[in-house]
Amino acid sequence: MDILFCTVPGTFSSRPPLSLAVLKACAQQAGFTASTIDLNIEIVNQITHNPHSKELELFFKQQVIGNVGDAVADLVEYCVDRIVAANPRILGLSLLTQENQFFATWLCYHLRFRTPNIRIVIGGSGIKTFIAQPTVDFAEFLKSNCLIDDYINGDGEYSVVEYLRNNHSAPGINTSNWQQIDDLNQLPFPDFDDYNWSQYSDLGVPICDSRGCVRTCEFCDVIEHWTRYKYRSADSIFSEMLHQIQRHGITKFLFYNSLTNGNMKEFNRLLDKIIEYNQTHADPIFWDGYFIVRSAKQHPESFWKKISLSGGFLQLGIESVVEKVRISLGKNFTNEDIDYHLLMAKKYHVPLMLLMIVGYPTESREDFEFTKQWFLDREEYARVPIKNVVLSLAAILPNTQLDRRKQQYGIIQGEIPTIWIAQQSIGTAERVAHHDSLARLILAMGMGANIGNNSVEVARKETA
Amino acid sequence: MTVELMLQGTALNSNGSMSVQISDHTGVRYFNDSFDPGSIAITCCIAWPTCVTIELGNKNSADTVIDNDGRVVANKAIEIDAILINRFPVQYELMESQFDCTHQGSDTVTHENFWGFNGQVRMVFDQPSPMHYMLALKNPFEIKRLSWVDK
Repeated sequence: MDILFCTVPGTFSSRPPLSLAVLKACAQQAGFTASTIDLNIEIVNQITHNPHSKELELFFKQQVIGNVGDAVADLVEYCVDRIVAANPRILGLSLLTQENQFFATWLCYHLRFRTPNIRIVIGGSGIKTFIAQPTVDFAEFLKSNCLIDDYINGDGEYSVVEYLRNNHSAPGINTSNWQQIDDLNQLPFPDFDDYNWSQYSDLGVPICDSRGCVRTCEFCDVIEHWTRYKYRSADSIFSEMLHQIQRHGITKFLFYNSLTNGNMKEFNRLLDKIIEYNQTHADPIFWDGYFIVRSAKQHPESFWKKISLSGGFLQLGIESVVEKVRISLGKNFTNEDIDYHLLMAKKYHVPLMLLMIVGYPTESREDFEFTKQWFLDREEYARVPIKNVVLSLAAILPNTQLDRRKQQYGIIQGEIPTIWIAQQSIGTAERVAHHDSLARLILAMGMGANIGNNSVEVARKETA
Repeated sequence: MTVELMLQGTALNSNGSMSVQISDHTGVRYFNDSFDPGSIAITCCIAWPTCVTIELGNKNSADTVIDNDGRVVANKAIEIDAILINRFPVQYELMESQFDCTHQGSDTVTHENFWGFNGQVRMVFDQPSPMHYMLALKNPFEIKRLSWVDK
């Protein structure tokens, strides 16, 4: 086998990854033999049933505590055994986030001992500490210690093929310079044939319809990484859906993107195609994806009906319910627009997930209270349509517009992105307390609250 | 299987340098009896698992010179400040405990990183792999994360 693509454990997600299937398809299309193993889900499922599960989760946060050493060694050994059994010429490790870095280090360390002849190349946004930073720090750290041979930075679909052709001067290979893919329609459909779907408790076929974003929110690092919004045509996306349904019999699709409704023309066309499919098939298509709020004029009632008939589950980036805060950070819609979306979603049974940033630099204590009251005043939307709310602590991420405006906001930055103090003198500890208070309220109202965010735990620990 | 063992430190010379011979269970892997004074890196490949024996020699009583105030003004020794296995360091605080030292003419085992004596230093690598060894030590791999790296 020319190349084996594996995820690196550390992403505590129950969803399938997309990267492996995309890269496999690209390699195969170019005539190379390739296979995939989602080591992440295999290890996550093992940890869940391990008596040392708590200690093992802490291991991923760089703490080797208690008598967890043997259990960790077993996990790493398991991964190496899986890789060795596949006998690849090249191993491609995919790191989704920095959460994968600690395990990646141990894995590469042991791989070098067990199989020094396998060439190791790593890629994915986790090869840096932050996606928008200019240097590829983690990958360089591994490379300088001879734990990997090479890395691919940025979009890897074409670069990995060039890498397999031994062209190491292609964009992104062992360099911070890379090129965003211009035409996503030209990429082959992802190849999920090696996936064991039964391993995923949140099952769906991942699909990428776009990269980048049409908005320019100041806190966002994705727009600093993918600086141009690139989207696929409805025809291309729908063809891929039909291909995957035929191949795997799964009709739920998970859009891995920043937004599904960036190009309204193509999005509407896609909805029409899905609706047509759903009206003629016993197993309808369902999908979920990020969705930006717009005015009622741009998202008329007929549009909501289409989202409902297409089986959509929307993840709305609300960020702040304080209108002036939200608009100034780059989300240019009113509270009236949010209420309209809640009303329409309820009317047409479109489930929603709200994404919120807690304690934005421009928020005041009064805004905290307003936020809680805002939720209380919308109790009628709890559960239907608001299934859950994801709360993230405001973070100053490197190379974002917010980072560049620190002086303007009077922000004094701490050592990590969620540790900072602003003009209002609301410190991290108070923001964490507000986060916890809001989470309790949301849970009490019957909505799910995603509060296990690692950044909150890190901030809590730092301010304890 | 083999691994790279590196001992980093400082050579103090007085009437020449200490001699160092490193052996694993397969034979001699390293020898040097003329270190330049200053920073040194002793690098060799060793079998794994194994027990490494480091023979120290060339030290004479005249090599240590003490002035009238009791200060050491010249000495012959090697001071180790890092153990790296396949380029990864053992945490400094854990390092001394890895050296089982026996001074010539004594049966007492001490744990020292200042080798200004003739005798033997043993390092026991009986774990199945360097990874197992590092985990058994609870040796952390320090990776900078969640921090500002580009400022």
